[in-house]
Amino acid sequence: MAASMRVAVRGSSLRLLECCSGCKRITKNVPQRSMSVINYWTEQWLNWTTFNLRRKNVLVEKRVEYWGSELAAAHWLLAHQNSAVQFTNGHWYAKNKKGRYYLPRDAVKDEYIISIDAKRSRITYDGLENLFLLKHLKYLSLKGCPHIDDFCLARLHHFKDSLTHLNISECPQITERGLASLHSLKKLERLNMKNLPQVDSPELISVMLEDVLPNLKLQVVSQHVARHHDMMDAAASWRKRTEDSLKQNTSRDEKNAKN
Amino acid sequence: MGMSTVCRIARRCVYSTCKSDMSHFVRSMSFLSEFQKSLKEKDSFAPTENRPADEADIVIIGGGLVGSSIAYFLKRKIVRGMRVVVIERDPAYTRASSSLSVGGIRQQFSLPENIQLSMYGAEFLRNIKEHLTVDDADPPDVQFNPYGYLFLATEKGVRQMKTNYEIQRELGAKVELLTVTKLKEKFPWINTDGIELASYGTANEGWFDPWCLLTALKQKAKSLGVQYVHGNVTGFTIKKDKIPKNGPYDPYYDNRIQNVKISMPNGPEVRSLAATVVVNAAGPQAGHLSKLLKIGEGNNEMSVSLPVEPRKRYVYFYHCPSGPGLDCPLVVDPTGAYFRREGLGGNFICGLSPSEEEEPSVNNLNVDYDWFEDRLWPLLSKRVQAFENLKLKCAWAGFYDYNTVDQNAIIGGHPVISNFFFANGFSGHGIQQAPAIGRAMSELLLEQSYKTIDLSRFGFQRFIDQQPLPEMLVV
Repeated sequence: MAASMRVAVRGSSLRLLECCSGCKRITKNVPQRSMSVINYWTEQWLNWTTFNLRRKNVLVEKRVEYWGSELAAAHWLLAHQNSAVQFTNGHWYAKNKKGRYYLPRDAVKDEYIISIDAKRSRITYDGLENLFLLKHLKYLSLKGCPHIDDFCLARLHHFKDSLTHLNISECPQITERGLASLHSLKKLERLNMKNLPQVDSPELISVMLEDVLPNLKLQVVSQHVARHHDMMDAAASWRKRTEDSLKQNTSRDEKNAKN
Repeated sequence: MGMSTVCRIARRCVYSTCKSDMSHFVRSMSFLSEFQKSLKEKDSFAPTENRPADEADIVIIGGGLVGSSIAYFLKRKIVRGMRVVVIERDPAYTRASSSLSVGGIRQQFSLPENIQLSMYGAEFLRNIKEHLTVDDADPPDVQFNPYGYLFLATEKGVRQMKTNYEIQRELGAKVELLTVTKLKEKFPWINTDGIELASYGTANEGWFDPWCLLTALKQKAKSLGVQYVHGNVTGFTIKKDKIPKNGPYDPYYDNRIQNVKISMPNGPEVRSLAATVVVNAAGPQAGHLSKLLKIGEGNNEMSVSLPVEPRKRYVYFYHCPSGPGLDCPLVVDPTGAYFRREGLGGNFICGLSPSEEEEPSVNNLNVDYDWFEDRLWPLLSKRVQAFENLKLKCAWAGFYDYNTVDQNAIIGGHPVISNFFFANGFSGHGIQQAPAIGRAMSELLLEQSYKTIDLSRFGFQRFIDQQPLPEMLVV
């Protein structure tokens, strides 16, 4: 939820004051009256943001009834989560610079959603419910989403029959346990897990995931394998060179001895 | 130099010597007061932090997961004006079931109340950062591993599994039934000999670190004003009410606990704490605690004792590099043996509940390694072939607070002692139900009835009426 926001600001309005500009005059001597005012407004801001977050992530059944499962998910993503959606006809739909999006019903009547680009969106655990009715989703990008954590990754097992590309880089709340719960996505081919701040050893997890998922190829693993091969080749060539030079030296010594 | 300057210099010298004398005098005065201060600190009669007040509104005996959860939910509703005291005799939790537990959470039960309790437990863990963050500290991380439980059933247990599945689906638990072919496809390392059906929990099931949850609950409760007292409850003073329970000619009088006698550590002192409500959250020692109140000796309703006793369970930690990989859930065999993966290094944890005849003694927490060799290892290697080669690394033992009648929780008040409440008898699934039990107890104590999950079937009355409510899926 907005726990990360709440933790950052709760109770420490002084920290908030320190954050906004280096104005030392304010941070030093804040009288008690204005502290309570600051507390009040930060609490109000927190309440509004959590309320708004929950509102944006509710599954509205009327929307599903009216539009059908695919279009309902598309409208939710475009309107509330500011993401981009691609259908089987190859077209991408997203909000334009003015903040409007156009999704004509006739153009996408019998089409399925195959890609979702939800980077830096505010999708939460409850919001993922909107996507479970999609049966043909192939590409999902949750890059930089602040509310995606291990529980959300465990929920991705609904896409086990169709998902081939998953991007969860830069998500601050994901740990190794969430990455290991991706074992159910049997058709996964590419997984982007760069820059995950809470994962200490992505190499170990990558190797184990490659063991479990048959089609998965991770760049980290292939880089390591390539580096290993390069090192073996370099060692072999070094050995060969030293052997050749030794042979040359011994033949030269023999020649000198003969002479 | 004139005479005046000489005088001035002389005056300054005199003053400085006087000042230094004065300062010496002043310093010795402050030294005296410091000495007096230190005397006061070492005075054994001065108040220290561990002493409880003389009276409290709600006293919770037992500071494990259930006790801390009840304290947190009580104080969450009423922060000021209610004094909650938690009495814990082992603040380091060296022998507590909460810290020695394997830490699993599942929704696969046979009673709807149990399913609802663990569902709320999973929801609480998911939103733990919102619930239990203390100001200016890191948010708690409970290290939840969402890998699910896999229950295997032979032909005899298929019908029970199907009925359980219906109840679980009805309540919204995400469980799926797997036939043998699907099971082989999903988990190829399982040996499906004798298995007819399996049920696999896909969401909100797995395992976590109960110690993290316990410290988070305790810190949050303390920040809300709960006092944790290090002491051992040795007795109670019970007072008979002058007013009979149901009308003037009713021969039954209400008994109420007036004081809780706590024996303080490091000395012979026994403090008396006046309490309005006493909650028994003592875990495996709950039966012993209720005996102090003479529950089990007496007439009519007082003759029924609390059927909770400690049962020792072993947990073994072993290493098997060729074992199941990342997709290994907590697998429960039809024989009752269970195992799960621990970490990413090919380590596993396993255990088996012994039958009634094989129950080990509960005098100590020593581990019986022959139990692993003779009973558990053959079952494991039969179920997963890779476990034929494993290396046992270490083991530990812990107590279940075992309900000998029906292995289900006992929640609610006592019919005769009107201010004594139970939260006992979880028989191995206490940590997953602790948040929901805390919430239910706070509703019962503050609003006199259950508001979210109705646990009236789990009351103490079922032992008096001799109508046990058995739980089929006890691991």
